[in-house]
Amino acid sequence: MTDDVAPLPTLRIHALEVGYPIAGGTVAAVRGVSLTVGAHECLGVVGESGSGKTQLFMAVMGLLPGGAHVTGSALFQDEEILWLPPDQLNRIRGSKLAMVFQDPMTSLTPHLKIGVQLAEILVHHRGVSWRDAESAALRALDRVHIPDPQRRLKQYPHQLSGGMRQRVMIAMSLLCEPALVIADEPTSALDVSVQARILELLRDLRAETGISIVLISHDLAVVASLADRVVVMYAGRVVESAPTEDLMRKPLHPYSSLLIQCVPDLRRPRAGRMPFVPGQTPGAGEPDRGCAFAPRCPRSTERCASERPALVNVGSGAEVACHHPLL
Amino acid sequence: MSSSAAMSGPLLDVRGLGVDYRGVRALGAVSFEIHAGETLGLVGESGSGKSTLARAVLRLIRASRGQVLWRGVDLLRCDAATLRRRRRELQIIFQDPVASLNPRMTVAGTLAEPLYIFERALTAGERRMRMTRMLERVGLSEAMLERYPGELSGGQCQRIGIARAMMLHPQLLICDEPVSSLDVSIQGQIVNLLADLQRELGTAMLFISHNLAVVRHISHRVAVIHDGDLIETAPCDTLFASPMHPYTRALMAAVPDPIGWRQAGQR
Amino acid sequence: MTGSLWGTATRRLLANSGARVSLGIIVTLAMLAVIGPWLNPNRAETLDWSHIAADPGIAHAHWFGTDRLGRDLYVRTLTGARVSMIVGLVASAVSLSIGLMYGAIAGYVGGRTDDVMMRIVEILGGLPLIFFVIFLTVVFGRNEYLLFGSIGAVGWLTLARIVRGQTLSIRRQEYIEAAIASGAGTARIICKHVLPNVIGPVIVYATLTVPQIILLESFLSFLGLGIQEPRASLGTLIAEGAGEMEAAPWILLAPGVFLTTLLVCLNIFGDRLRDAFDAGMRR
Repeated sequence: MTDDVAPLPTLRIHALEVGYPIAGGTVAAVRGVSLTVGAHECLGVVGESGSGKTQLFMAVMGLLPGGAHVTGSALFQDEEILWLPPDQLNRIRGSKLAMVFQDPMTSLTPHLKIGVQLAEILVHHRGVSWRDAESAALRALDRVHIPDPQRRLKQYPHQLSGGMRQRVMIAMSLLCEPALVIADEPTSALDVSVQARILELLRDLRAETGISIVLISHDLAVVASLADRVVVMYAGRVVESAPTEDLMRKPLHPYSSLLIQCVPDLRRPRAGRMPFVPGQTPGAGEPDRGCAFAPRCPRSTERCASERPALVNVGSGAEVACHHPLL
Repeated sequence: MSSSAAMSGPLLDVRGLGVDYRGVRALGAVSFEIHAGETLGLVGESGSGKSTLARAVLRLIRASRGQVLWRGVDLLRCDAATLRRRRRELQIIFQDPVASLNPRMTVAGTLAEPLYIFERALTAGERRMRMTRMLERVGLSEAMLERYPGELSGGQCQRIGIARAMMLHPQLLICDEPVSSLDVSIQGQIVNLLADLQRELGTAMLFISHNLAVVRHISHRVAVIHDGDLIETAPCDTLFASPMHPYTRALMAAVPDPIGWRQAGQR
Repeated sequence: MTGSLWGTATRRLLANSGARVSLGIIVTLAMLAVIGPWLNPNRAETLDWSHIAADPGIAHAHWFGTDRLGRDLYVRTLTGARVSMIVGLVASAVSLSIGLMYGAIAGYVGGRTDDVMMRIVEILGGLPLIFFVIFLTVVFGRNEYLLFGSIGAVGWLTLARIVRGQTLSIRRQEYIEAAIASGAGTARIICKHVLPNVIGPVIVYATLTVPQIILLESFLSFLGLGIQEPRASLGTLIAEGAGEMEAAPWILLAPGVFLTTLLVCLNIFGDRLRDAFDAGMRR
């Protein structure tokens, strides 16, 4: 999994579980996930709504509501961050470890100007003066290719388009030169055309700065266009993990294969149906026996219904959890 | 297919429809036709005016100019009673499936409403039968009737929205970004369902989306809207094979193409 | 999350100790007011000449004592409480019904209709109530129906404003658009789509108007403008008691404690109800 002369992996998650106690038991959102984000690597995490992909990284960032029950470990630059006290966590969050969310409208404070929200981060984390912070904010907007940044600094979030707000969020996350940016569905609320430009921006920024990125999405096309490696999640667990090229060309898990079919291809003849994954994700409260994907899987057998497949390393950096992988 | 297919002339004939909102020209002067049983795809980005168009056609918002001729009658100028009578023939499904359902009404209540409005003579038993049949047609079971929207997934809510819209077998269904808030993996379920319903019931459709790839699967003809104007209209295959307008070409280039992009990025 | 707002809210409500206790006390007081008088041999209007302004005691069956005219205070207090509670409930129900429809129509229809309707609310709200009531009393004489009328004239105003505000916030929701597109008329939309979705927060405010109305009635009766002799309400009893405070403090004590306890519990319950609804409405 790791090469021999590797620099320290930026993030190492081990056996992370997230559950919510309810009357009569616990509802599990994440059921034991382990993964690694290498330095300068872009890791894609793909899964439908309810797969636990957002909950996983909210746990890492310490953003889960108070009632959440978290076990496992998350090492950020070799430091355990799951159990850090709030003041120490706040020094890392927003500066070395940043997150970009799906809906920029609700992540930006509506009554503060853009310039203020950007500058505030630098003043708080780096202790610079307001004036220096404002010029840094200007440079940050420039970096994410926002036209006429001087004017935008003085505007409020609602005066910007969705795509531009998302660029501002990205600019905010980069202000303190983070080691890792977690982007949770950064383009899902945007038009396809704007999405393309945001992904391009992320690609360029990565090439420039070498930061690690975790790109989370329900859309495999989005993830595959940027990530070096992809982790496929289903019902709170990892079902496949592989380098992107390998996954796209030769998926091992039937679910991955179905997701790949859903990637649009304008060159394909359009006759016939639009591809999809049949059925729907299991609800949070449903019993956890056997393989969670079995009811929707074209290759499932009796064994799948009763015995849960373990995540197995199959060589060349790939892992899969399936009794009947596509080999 | 409906008998009006034999008639010459389109089902919906929109001429010069425009909407000005607070001094801003949300929709310029748009003209298009939809014939019985066909699907017109309408593609545009946010702010292009596509949702405004959908609502203006149904007179859910006020148009500033133009005509909307539905089987010869101008919906924008007819009286309220005529409009309400016509409503059973033109229906709409929305982008946010959960928000389009009354959270305090069960599925049964939501589905029964069109029947209460237009077919009051039905007995409770007949109503229930119609609702169950429609639910099954959209792939849901009778058990759904007693549930509330808050208990259901986005995909299920959209199916219920479709069931509600199709209850009275409308001749035109306007689909305003019906799959944009659903996971990519289940968008196909809804698109295919709509295509099936069209085949079975002969419903014409106006399918609005910002995603060309989705529109492609269900449209006979496609129109592209930009800044409040229709800039290109063509049969589906023609548009995709040889897009004429540079904006159309730009939209096409934006469709995610992971392999292509990666190769380009590795320059 | 189950879809039923009432189900979620009720569960949360009953789980809260403050709600349970205050509700329990309210129910107890209500039952006392209904059944209590039957437990005592005395009648509300009977004058017991042998026990004028007597101290409370068991021996003479005047558990709360008697007033200046020898009337048993236990029975009078509880029958007075009955009157106050009935006035509170009935006036609240009337205010709620009027306020709901008025506010929903103004909020949904909007435009000029809304403007006119709200002007009326503002004008009525600006009238000084006491002077209004006094004026009507002078013109029409003391009258219990006048009391109901004045309370009713005021009670629905705030509710109408609240309902209108709630209606405005849901008017642009997609399910309202969907209903219009389905061919629903204004009446159907208001009754089936607007009202069920605004009633949650409105019920809470309605619950909080019950104590306000009881207090208002007590105040008006205290001033002599409402319930008249020989009938009693908590307000008139308190007025009497206030006059006798030094010599016979128990005359004030019984109705005073009853009213205070009732109002405090109603307020606490109303607050808990609001919390329960808020939580139920959050996704």
